[in-house]
Amino acid sequence: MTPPPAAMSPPDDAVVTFVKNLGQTDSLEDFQNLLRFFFQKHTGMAIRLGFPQPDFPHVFHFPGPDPGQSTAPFSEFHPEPPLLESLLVGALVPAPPELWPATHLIPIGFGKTLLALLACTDTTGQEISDKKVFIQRVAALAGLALNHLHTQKDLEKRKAALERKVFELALLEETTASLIADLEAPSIGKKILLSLAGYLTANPGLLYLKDPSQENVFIRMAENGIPDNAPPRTLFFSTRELPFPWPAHIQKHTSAPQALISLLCRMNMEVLFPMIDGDQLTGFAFFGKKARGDAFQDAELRLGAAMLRQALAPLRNAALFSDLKENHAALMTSLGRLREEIAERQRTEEKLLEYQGVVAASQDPVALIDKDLCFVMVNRACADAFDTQPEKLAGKNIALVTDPELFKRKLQNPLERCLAGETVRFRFAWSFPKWGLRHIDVAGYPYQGRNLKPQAIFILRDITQMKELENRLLQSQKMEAIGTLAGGIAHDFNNILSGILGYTELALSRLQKGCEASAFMEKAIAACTRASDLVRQILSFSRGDSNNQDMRPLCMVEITEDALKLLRASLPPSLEIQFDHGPSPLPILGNPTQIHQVVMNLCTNAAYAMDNQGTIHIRLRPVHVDAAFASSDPSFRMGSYVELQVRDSGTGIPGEYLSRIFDPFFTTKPQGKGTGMGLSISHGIVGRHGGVIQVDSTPGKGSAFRIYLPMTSASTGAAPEQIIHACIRGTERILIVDDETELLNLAAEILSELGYAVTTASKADKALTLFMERPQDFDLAILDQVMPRMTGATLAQHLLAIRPDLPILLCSGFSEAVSPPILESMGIRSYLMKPFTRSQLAGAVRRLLD
Amino acid sequence: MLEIRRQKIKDVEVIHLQGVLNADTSPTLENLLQELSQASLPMILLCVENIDYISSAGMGCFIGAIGNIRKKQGDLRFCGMQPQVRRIFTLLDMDDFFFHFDSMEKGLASFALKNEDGP
Repeated sequence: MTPPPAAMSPPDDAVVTFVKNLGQTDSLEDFQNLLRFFFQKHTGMAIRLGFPQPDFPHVFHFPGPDPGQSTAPFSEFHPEPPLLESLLVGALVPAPPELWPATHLIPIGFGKTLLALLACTDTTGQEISDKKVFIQRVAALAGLALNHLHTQKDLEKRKAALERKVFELALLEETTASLIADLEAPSIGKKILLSLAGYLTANPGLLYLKDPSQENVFIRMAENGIPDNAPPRTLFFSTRELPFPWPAHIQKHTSAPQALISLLCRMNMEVLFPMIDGDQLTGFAFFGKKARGDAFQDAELRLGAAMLRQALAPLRNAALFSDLKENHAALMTSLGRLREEIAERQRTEEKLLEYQGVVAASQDPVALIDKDLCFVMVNRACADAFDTQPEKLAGKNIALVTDPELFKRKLQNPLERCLAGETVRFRFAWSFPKWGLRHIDVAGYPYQGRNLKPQAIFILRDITQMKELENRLLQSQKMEAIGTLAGGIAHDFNNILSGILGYTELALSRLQKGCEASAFMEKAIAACTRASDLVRQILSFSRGDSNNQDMRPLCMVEITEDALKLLRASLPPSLEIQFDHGPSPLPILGNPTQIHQVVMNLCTNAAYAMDNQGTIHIRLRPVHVDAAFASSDPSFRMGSYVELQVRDSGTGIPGEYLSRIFDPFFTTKPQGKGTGMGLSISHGIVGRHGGVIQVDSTPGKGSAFRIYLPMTSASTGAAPEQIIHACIRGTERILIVDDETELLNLAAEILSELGYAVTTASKADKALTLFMERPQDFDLAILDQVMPRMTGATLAQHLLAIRPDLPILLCSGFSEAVSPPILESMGIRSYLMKPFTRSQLAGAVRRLLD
Repeated sequence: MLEIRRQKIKDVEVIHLQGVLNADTSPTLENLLQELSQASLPMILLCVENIDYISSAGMGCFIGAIGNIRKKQGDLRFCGMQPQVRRIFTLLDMDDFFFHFDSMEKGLASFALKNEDGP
């Protein structure tokens, strides 16, 4: 039971406090409790409050202590129109008794709005009437307070909504600003996915973007949170037969194309945002459940879709940027390749220029000839040969620049063969406008130019000089052959002379003194000596330099005389030779054959210059070369020289030839008359002897050649080979071996007569047997060098092997067979050249035995 | 823009953040949170007192990580949250989804009680 009210009309203070308290409540529950308490206190009646249902302002629910329960006997009260109208004007009306007996309804409103219904049950029916005024006053005040509460709630709601809107706007702006500055699709994807996931508070999130290189393929670009099932890397989705527009966000229950719903289910996600840029599907964003597990709000999904749209432009830019980067990279690559190509071409060009330079610099004419037999290109040497410029020759037909006859005969065929692809090689003589008649070696190579037309490269080489050299070589080989022949003849000839000389001497020695025949015999001996000298000279001349490299002391006077003797025999009598020399033998260190050759050459030239008429003046004298004289030629050393001058009164040498007379093969003589080697060889010989050759010439008056050879000291002068010892007799035992019986007998005769005990053998093996039987029975062996089966030198070695101290004298008519150094090395002490005189043999024997 | 400093106190990964957590900076933190959530019992305390602003992308990091973390009985908690940051949690209705504490000590202490108060 509620206690009776303290006063029927509450004091104003209490009402003011009550209204103030009502105005400060912030929930309907508080409001209801306060009102109930106030009513109870001041009227003693219990009241219930009913509130209009959302969206149904005239349907009232009287909430109980538990949610869904009602304090009224019904859950909802819907006043019929007459009752409602009364309530709307603020009337206190009884509730329909069939619904709620003994209950009055008092409207709590503001203006024409019903904010609540106050239900007051009065079983007496009296209390309500008594307190009607108070109740209506409190209801009016409560209406004001409730309206205030509603307004405040509404304001708070609006404020929150506004705040959220501001937040959402800021989100959009910030997201857009962040995305727009980004040019990388993965980064953009990540940012938009995080922003959306945060806004929707949904997890996990996945973003797929279209693969630009494949139709209908979408690549996973970003993810947030970890889905239960690993999401696929790529999605295949075709938009065919799925015309736009599509919903901006799709959930399983929304109405959307089935393919999209299936995709969402397949991905095991809750919401799908298709990304549509213009008429292109560019990607998908998927999200799982909200973190709290509640449902997605339409508004947030709409904003989510709007946020996702902010990513479209940046993603487009990113794609463009990626294209740009690729294009840039491709451009750079092709630029690099281009540079490489240019460099390669430059290198090729440089090489080409180099080749061109090489061809141009060639002294051999080079020409490129096309199939019409016209010059395509020629080098300078080629143009020079034709006495023109390279550019003038280009395009000209070869037949026009050569002798037509020669062209037809020699050039046309090889050229055509070469153009047909054959390599040709031939020689011919061609008269060039500039060079005159030359021997040419031609090499023709087929060539395919840039236009792929057959061409021919012709390289011409002037072999005129080479040909001359070949001729000279042929000549010198001929000379060598003659020399060998002469040597062979000389051997036999010397043997014959030995016989004549020896027997003549023997005969002379047996003639009575004063006998008339003695004078004839002596003349015969002199003739024999001359003949012997002549043979010696021929041998000396024919012997090559190679056999006589050794230098030895020579008597210059003697060697000149020797040469002149030979020369005299070969020159016509109309030519006189005058030889002046002092008493001094003028010793030099030299090779006798070579010096001999020099004298011969100079004199032959002089004779030729004088047309074999007049006098050749030859002079030998010692000269002292002082500093002033030495300065005339760098080869001079100060000191004593022997000067040999050969002077003629011939045609002389023209000034322009003077510098070339010592060149090999330089000759003014007609073909076949001179080798052009004489002065060249002489120059070389004199040089090798440390000497100098000089020439003075006046055209029309004659020339004078002077040779200076260093003089050697007199003590090492020429060996006195010619000194004839007095015949010295002896009694020693001598073994003579010679295959020529005549000569063997002659030597035996001479030596027996001189008192020696002579044993002879005509065969080497027989001699050896003889010697081996009694080696101590011989004091000396005289051996002929040239014998069949065994040479004298070989026999000597056998003898010396048995008796090393045995003196041996080797004789030969052909000195080339052995040389003194070799003999010496074999232990052969002496050597005698056939033919020898009686006194020479006797002297040689005596020298060995003594 | 965003400075991240890690500190391990007992079993708790304490992450000190400074600056703003927006779409530009969030991916870095997201990577870190994903890494830390690989632990068998991830306990992460985010000190956000020097964070002036958190955008939805920042929230995205937390949302992306929290599912996996809580599945392993771990948690991601906050301390020193400023009102304007807290307001964003409120607006997104995440105010009471995450625990937040006035100070780091309290945050650490909450982990010491371990799992008793998981929402």
